[in-house]
Amino acid sequence: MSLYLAVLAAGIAVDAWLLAYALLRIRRTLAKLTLVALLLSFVVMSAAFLGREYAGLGAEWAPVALWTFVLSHPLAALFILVAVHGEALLRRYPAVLLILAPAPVLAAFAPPAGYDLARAYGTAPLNWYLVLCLALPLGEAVAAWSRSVARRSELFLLLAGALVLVLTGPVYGFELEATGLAEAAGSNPGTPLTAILFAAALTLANPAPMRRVPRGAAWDPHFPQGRLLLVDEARPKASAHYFAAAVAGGRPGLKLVRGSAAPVAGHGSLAVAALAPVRWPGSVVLATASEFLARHPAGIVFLRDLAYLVTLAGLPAARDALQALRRAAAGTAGTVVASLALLTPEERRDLLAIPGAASVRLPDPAAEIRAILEARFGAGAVHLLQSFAAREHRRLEDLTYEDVPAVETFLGTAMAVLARAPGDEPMVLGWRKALDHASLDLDRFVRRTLPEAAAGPWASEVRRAGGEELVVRASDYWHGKELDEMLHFAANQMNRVRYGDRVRGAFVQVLGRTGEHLFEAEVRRLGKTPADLGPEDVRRLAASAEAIVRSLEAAIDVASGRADLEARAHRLRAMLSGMTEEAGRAV
Amino acid sequence: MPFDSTYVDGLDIVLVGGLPRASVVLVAGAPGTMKSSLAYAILHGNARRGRKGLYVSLEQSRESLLDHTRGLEMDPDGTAGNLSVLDLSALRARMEEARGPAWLDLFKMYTQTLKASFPYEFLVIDSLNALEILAKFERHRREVFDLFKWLRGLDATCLVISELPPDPEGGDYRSAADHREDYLSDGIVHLKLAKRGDFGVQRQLRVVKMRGRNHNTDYHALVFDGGFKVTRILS
Repeated sequence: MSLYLAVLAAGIAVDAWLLAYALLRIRRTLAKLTLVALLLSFVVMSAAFLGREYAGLGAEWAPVALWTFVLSHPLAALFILVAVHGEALLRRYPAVLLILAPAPVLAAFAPPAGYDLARAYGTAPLNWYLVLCLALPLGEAVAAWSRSVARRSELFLLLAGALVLVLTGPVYGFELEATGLAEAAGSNPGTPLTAILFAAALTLANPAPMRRVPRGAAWDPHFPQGRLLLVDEARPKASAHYFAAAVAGGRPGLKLVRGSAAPVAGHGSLAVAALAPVRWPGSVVLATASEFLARHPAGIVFLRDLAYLVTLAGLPAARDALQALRRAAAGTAGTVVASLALLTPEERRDLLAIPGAASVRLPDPAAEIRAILEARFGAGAVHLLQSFAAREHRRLEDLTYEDVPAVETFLGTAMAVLARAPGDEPMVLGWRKALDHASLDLDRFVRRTLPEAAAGPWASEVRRAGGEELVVRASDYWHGKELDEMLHFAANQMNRVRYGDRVRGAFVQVLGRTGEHLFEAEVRRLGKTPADLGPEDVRRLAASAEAIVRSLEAAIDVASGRADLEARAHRLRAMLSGMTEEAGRAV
Repeated sequence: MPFDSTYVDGLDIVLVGGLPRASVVLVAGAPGTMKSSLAYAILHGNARRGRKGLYVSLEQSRESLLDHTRGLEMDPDGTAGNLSVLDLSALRARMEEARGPAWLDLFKMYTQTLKASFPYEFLVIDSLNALEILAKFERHRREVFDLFKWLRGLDATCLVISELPPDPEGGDYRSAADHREDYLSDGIVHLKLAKRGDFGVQRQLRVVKMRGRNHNTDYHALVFDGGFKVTRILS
């Protein structure tokens, strides 16, 4: 018996340690609560049994041991059901709580009915209740495990834990009774193994860290409530824009992005969680989203990097996770939004076929901005847009809704450059009018809600009217020069300013105020002003930057100080080289 | 208030303990009074005991300075790399095109950069006059006030060498009338050449000012004999 005693004592220690672990590390609120309650009942049950059998505790402890023993069964059932069905279980099926109801009733009737801990599994109707409490979650776990692809590992651990509980509970109890060792019955030596498996299941599917956000608004004009919305788009820009607009309007939002275990980020109503390359990404995504929706039933979960999830978990698991998310959002005011950007056409088709999921197709803002400008300025508008993108250190295809104000400002500046060039008054007026029209179109494009944007029409899909809307034709007013040539001229003029600013910025960034002085000295050496610097000057400045930093290094005789300057020189060279390459392309 | 020893024989007694830590002290004197050598000796003495010092030379090249100090038996090799000379004179050609404030920014960039990689506890600026000329101070008092304030933020004991015009009479300390940096510094050590008889000249040192210390204000003889010594003047 001393070995059995040691096993039970070690079991109490393991259960208590896992209880503390669950309290501190598990982030699924409801699952954590039920697991903690279950582990607490395990600890009290085993301690009371040990105390009575081996430490001489009085008979008054018998009801405690019996009651915690009985209670551990519905708690185990409740935990497994919560772990299988997610945080929405109690909202969707509140009747499941009734499984706890017989426990106090049976405990109250225990003395008159003559229930005994050692023969709990052999006394009706108590044994019916206990077996039901174990059979029900076991069946649910088996059913979920056989259906789910995304959560197979997690559900297997739950299933194994439930099986261990059955084997070391009723099966072991009946065996003890059959072998005449009934005094050992009433305890469960398998609780630590069960606890380890349950805790492991929750750890595998532990939600990514996320900040708590205020409750906020329950509605926004962009997303339908209680739905899984699949956004068909080339890049996750339109969905991100409308998600940001909804969150800015006060609706609680969780953005799930790819990345390592990032620090908890976000602001206002926005929480950001990073999906690290874990072994069971489907479980983590589902747990994270479910936890957020449990905290904020009117919230939005935005899966920006669904393609990343597909890469990590595979298409079947991602589809399975999305289906589970659809169920989690159903019947609530919440929304799950997933961007299909960067997926193959086959993958898109597969996911768009998820039953019950809503879907929309949204335009790429970069293509729309370009199309709007081309409709007003003709093919030459692309020069201006390319110039703008280069100035902002962006690629043309990366432009999005948030760039529209800056694009409008840039166009205004380009307009001013053209107006300074020799030309006639009607041409300038015509340009201004075209610019006003383009700005109006851009504003209208940005202000559209998601349903309006999905309904169209999209500028990129409307056949251009061939320049009929142009108020002024270049051939009419620019001495025969073509329109795109004028725009090229404006872009080049603006590039020259850009080079001066950028080279100065590189010098200042690397060498502080000294950098600014050195930059000005070098520009004076070239006989120019910063505004006059062109691509060819950037090459010369990049070449002289080496000599500048070498001379700065020569002043120092401390190796560490020279290394610091060497590092700065390297940065300056790299920055200027980048500009030189760009200048080469521009030339 | 903590103090930094100068490791110059007799000088710590005159200063009643040493230089106040992280203070800005002017070392003023006419040409030939060994201001640079004395400041270097303080750096060298501390460097030999493991405390890092930075000597910023705005006029004299590193090679020339080190030749000079080796002649005074202060070999930088004996400091185990705890003494660094920042030779800004080498940058004059490069900075020729730069405007005045560039020098002050350059000086700050270097001293701040080195503080991070070479955490010096002593800083010598040789000289304030050279920096003023290179940086083209226009509002002199204001700019020196800002510079001294900035130096205090370095958390290093700073010795700022200040050139005074030659005084054939070897009179008492008189600051340059239009500069008045002596009001802004925490201490002033005055060096002078005093005539001794018809042919002799003696180097003398006086601590004119040292904030927070009841120091000795008398003139003392500054003697170099294998190392600096500050002794009472024997009549």
